[in-house]
Amino acid sequence: MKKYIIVLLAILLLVSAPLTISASEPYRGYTYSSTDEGTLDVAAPQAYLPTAVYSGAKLGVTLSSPEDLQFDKQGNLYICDAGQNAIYVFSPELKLIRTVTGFDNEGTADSFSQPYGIFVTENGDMYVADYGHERVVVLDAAGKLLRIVTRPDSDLLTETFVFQPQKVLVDSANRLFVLSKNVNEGIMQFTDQGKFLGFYGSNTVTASAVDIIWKEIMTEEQTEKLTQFVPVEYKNFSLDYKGFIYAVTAVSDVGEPIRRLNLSGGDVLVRAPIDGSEEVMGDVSYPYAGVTGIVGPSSFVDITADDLGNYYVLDDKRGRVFTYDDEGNLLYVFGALNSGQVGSFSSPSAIAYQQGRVYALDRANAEMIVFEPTEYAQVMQQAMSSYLLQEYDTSLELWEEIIKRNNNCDLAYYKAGYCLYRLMEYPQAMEYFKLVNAKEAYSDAMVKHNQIVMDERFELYATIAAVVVAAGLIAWLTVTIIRKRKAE
Amino acid sequence: MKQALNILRHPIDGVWDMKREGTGRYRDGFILILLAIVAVIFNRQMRAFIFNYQYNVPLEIIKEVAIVVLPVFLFCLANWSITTLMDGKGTFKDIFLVTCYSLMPLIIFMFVTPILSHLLSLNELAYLTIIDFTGYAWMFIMLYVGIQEIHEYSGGKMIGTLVLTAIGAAIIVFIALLFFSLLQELGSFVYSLYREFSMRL
Repeated sequence: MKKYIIVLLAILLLVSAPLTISASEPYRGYTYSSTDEGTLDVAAPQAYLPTAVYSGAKLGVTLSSPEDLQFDKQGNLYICDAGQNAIYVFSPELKLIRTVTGFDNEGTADSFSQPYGIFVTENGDMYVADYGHERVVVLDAAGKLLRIVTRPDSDLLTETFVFQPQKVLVDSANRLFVLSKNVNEGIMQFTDQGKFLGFYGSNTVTASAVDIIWKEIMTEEQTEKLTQFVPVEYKNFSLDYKGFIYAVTAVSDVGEPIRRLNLSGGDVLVRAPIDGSEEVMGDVSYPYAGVTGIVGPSSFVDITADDLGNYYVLDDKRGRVFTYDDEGNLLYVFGALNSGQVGSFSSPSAIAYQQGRVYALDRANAEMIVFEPTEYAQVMQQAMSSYLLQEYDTSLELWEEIIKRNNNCDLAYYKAGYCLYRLMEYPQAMEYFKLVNAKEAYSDAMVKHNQIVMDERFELYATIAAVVVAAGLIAWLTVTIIRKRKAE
Repeated sequence: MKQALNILRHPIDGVWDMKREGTGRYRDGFILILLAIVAVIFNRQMRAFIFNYQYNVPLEIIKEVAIVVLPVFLFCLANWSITTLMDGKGTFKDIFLVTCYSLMPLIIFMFVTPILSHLLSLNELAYLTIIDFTGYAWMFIMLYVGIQEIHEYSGGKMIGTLVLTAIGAAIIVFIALLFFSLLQELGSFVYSLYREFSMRL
């Protein structure tokens, strides 16, 4: 009997042991690390995790196809829904303030048709890309119509051109920018009164040398039969805290998929990541055609910038958000597509950054996902901000903390090295630079270090050199004298 | 050793003396090749971090040996095949020894530049490049002069045979690749035959 009880107890123990239940993240954290053998895809801690998912019901509205979201200066959230033809305004606590479905157009009640984009200026004016009605509607904070921007009459536009605004934006100089469907000349630029100024930030066409030679050889009829080389169309844009426009194109292996445009439309995005790749393009290694599943490079739909100079790019192909710093270093990647878990995307449409959180809209699931930074991302953001404030001691400690959490983080070694460089701890800085293969930074630190060594011990080295030279001279002289005497 | 220094200082006369007096030994050639392998590995491992583009790549001895041995033998074989048909006076031994002796500048430079590289920063990259280049240039000049001397060629004929040597080397590489891929095919055929039998019996 005793035996049986022991066996029973043992079985009970065995059965009850693995009963711990754990919730895992809906996606894998990773980053890219560069070596002499190429860029490798390495595991990284989770940086942002979905903490809340807001469906229409949870927000107290009907969402069917949310296309764009925007925060105003007070932190109010504007969501525009192309399915409901409505714009919802929420307080910072996500309580519904009002719903804008129409406006008074010179006495008659007017409404939106498929509003795809919204922009709210600092004084609360709302710019709505009224796609279905082929116009941009400008309302003031109270919802009163200010003006309507329709298809401009311009020699720059062809006869068949249809004005179908999808995204709108107003910059600090009060210029209105519109992304219209099927326009690949660039971003349409208007005055604040709606006068068409021309195209802005035009894409350049990339044609290889072979293409150009073929074009010279072929007849005009043959050229027409070829697929035309057209610039890539901009997909979305947003303003950063300095008033520059960040713009994304959908195809990311052609030209530069992410751009930062200055006042005259030139691309000023810094592409100098520490791995020396000069590329800012989302996923670096991905399967090419011929594999089942998703192939090809990332395809961007939206971009948003925070107040540290970092920017977040949304890839709708794989449902990932790529975060870059102002030098083009990949900080972290988060988000997933159809992972079957709460917080994964189905068809992401827009993102916005507000107070450390990243808000993303999903068109097909008709919901808003809120991502919050984990401790890892928070430490990294603190490290970056203290570096910007020139508090190198603090920054160094934080970057070393990052290294402890993720020893694959090339950037952390590099930045820690630079903190040490600023603190004039050159030998230690060199150690860090060596670990991430940063040859130029290492060389700079070495030069500084050598200067110090030379300053400290110049007398010693100079004495040694003088003694060596003198000894050499004396030896040479004695040898020649002895030889001469022997010859005599 | 004395002969090596003599050839290094006076390539033309040195090679001529070696050929006339028959003082060349295969042993010397192999020692030089061994030294060259050591030099290549030393250069790869000891070169300062900032100038070393293989710093994080693990060392594979076989690869380093092949980098030295294969080109030397390929050149000797190709040059010998061509020059025997073109009235070259040199024997295979001569060609081999000249090739090995011309590795000397490379050996010296590959021991010196890694040490020097530790004293330079990235701004002085140009100096290191020039020094490296000097080593290679010296090697090729010695090879050219030595080969010309042992075959007793004129300048034009020498250049012609060098071009033909390059073509010959390419053909040898091609045939070798062909041979090895055929061997592989044969191997896999025998293996599949073995599997077929072992499954059925």
